[in-house]
Amino acid sequence: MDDKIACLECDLLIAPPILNAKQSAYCPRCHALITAKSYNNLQYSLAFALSGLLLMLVANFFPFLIFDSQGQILNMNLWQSAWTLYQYEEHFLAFLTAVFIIGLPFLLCFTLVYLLFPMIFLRKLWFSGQTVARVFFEVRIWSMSEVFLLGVLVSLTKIMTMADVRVGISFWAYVLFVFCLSAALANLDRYRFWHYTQRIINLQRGHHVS
Amino acid sequence: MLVKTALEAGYITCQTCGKLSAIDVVKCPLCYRNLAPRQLKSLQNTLAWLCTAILLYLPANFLPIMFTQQFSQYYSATIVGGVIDLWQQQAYFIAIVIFMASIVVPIIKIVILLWLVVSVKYYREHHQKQRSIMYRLTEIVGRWSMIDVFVVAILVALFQLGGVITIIPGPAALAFAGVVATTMFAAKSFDSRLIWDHVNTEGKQH
Repeated sequence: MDDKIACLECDLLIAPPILNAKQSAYCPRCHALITAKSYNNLQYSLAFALSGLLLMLVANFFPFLIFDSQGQILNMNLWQSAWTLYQYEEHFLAFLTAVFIIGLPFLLCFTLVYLLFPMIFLRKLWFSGQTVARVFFEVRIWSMSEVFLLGVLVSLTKIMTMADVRVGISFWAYVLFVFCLSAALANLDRYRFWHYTQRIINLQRGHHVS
Repeated sequence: MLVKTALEAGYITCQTCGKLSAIDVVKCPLCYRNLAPRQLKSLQNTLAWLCTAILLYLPANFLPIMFTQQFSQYYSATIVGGVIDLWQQQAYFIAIVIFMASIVVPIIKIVILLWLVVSVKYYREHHQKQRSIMYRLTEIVGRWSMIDVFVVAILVALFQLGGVITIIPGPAALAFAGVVATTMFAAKSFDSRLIWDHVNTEGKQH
């Protein structure tokens, strides 16, 4: 069973690809990506996730946008976009916004560190690592921090004529956070991640490691 | 090389971790996902989510997405109105981005998924590769439609801070978030392996 893999998008049975560092493997039938270049690796993913966590921390404690209104300087922080919706009785929308732009992106970064740190440095998985990893792969599409960033740019364009708005430290931290999260996710290859997880489980059970 | 699917060889492929298990295994031993040879009731679920999305698409476009209040005067703006405003402000690039994300992408996504469901159900052996590409496309672009909802969230928060203008979120914002979420669920419940099943693969050279 371990000498074969299947394409996740068309279920074609294929042999596990043997690649050098600059090759990617695609399904011969439906051209879905099987595994990406191996110099995009799990170590990079961990490094980017760690920096992402720090940047998210910074993004939470500084003004996001600075609003200059008749000599009065007003700060808007990252949480306020969701919080104001809540105050206008749009509770569900506020919840979705908070989850999509802050909660999930942060959790994805945290989960990556939780999974990859023990895998890479300790050759083991922390508590319920396999379940955490499955949930991670199932919810990663719902993280919309980069969409939010584009939304900020659109809003700034919309109100440039109406008000004097500048971006704060938190905005730049968030930009870098989005970059780190995207890089961490792009470097996380599904096939290689689960292959490595399987090897660690085998190791823990004391099986022969191939 | 004989073209054969994992299912034909007697295995179930886990959709999360890709591990092959014997056909009678209930839970994936690697990631603990519940296993099924193909996603259960894939076409029905996709169609149900799509119907919801189409229903939500109407209020999302016809009701105002936000109200602007200035000196006790109210203006309301719909999504299309916002795009037209941006175009008149000569912010062409942003106008096109919003137009694509809020109007074109949801429609295209719904149409593509409907087409995929119908084609899997009725005529099975045409354009498999193109349909696979289309499916992958709907998965990638779906999230970007949320942009208009986020714009409302930011504007509402910014103008609540002070100044003479107040912006209040409208009912279309929630409806539109619903369109995005339901189309994402629709894409997720469609099992792309169905496109390739029932193709006569035995003995086919590739």
